[in-house]
Amino acid sequence: MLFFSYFKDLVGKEVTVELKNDLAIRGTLHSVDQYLNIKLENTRVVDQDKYPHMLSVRNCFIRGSVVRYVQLPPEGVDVDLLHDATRREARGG
Amino acid sequence: MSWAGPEDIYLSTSLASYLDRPFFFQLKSVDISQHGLNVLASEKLLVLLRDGRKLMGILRSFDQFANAVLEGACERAIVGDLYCDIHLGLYVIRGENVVLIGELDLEREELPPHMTRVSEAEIKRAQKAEREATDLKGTMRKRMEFLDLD
Repeated sequence: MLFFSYFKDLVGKEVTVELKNDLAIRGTLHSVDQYLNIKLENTRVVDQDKYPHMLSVRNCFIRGSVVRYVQLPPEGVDVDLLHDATRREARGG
Repeated sequence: MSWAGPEDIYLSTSLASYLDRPFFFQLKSVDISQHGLNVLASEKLLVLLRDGRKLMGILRSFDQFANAVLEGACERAIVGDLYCDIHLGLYVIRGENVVLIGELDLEREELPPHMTRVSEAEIKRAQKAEREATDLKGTMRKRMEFLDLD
């Protein structure tokens, strides 16, 4: 549940989601759920010319299982907090 | 357990906000006349599949696996600057094949202006040619492997 909570804290921030099919989509994180499915708003594809069909997509739902990376804004990462949470999770609660 | 209210649905990751609008507004019990235009413009979605296919249609149902029912589905075949919408009808999509479900902005251009629409037969021909070209590239590369190009 750690990463679910973590992503929930990032809602409203601008992120880039890289998919397993090499498509990279940038947008505002609208919401995330337990499967780490992601909803993005005001989306734009990083390599627009290669994916012309994505031109008119303004918001989208991405299935968690196809995500490879999520690029985060540096200010969205509190390393100390994340360390603490990780240790707590590893202890089992 | 209680059912999620319309506000919850809108803020959640659920696909409910992508369901066809008339249903959504009934759910919300908002004055329909106020949103007449929105109701008329039934929402068209783009569903990207794992094999690279692009389906367009109206979302009628879904579940937690992202299994989805698309009504009036069509496949948008794109080869280079050519494209074609192939009509398919009512489609049930198994969730594991879904990459992304996107809402199309009707005010924005659907495709870049330099792309041309062609017939189904023509796009099939273009797809075949593209497939053969990639196959050929693959075999050429294989034959040249001893050169250790990378």
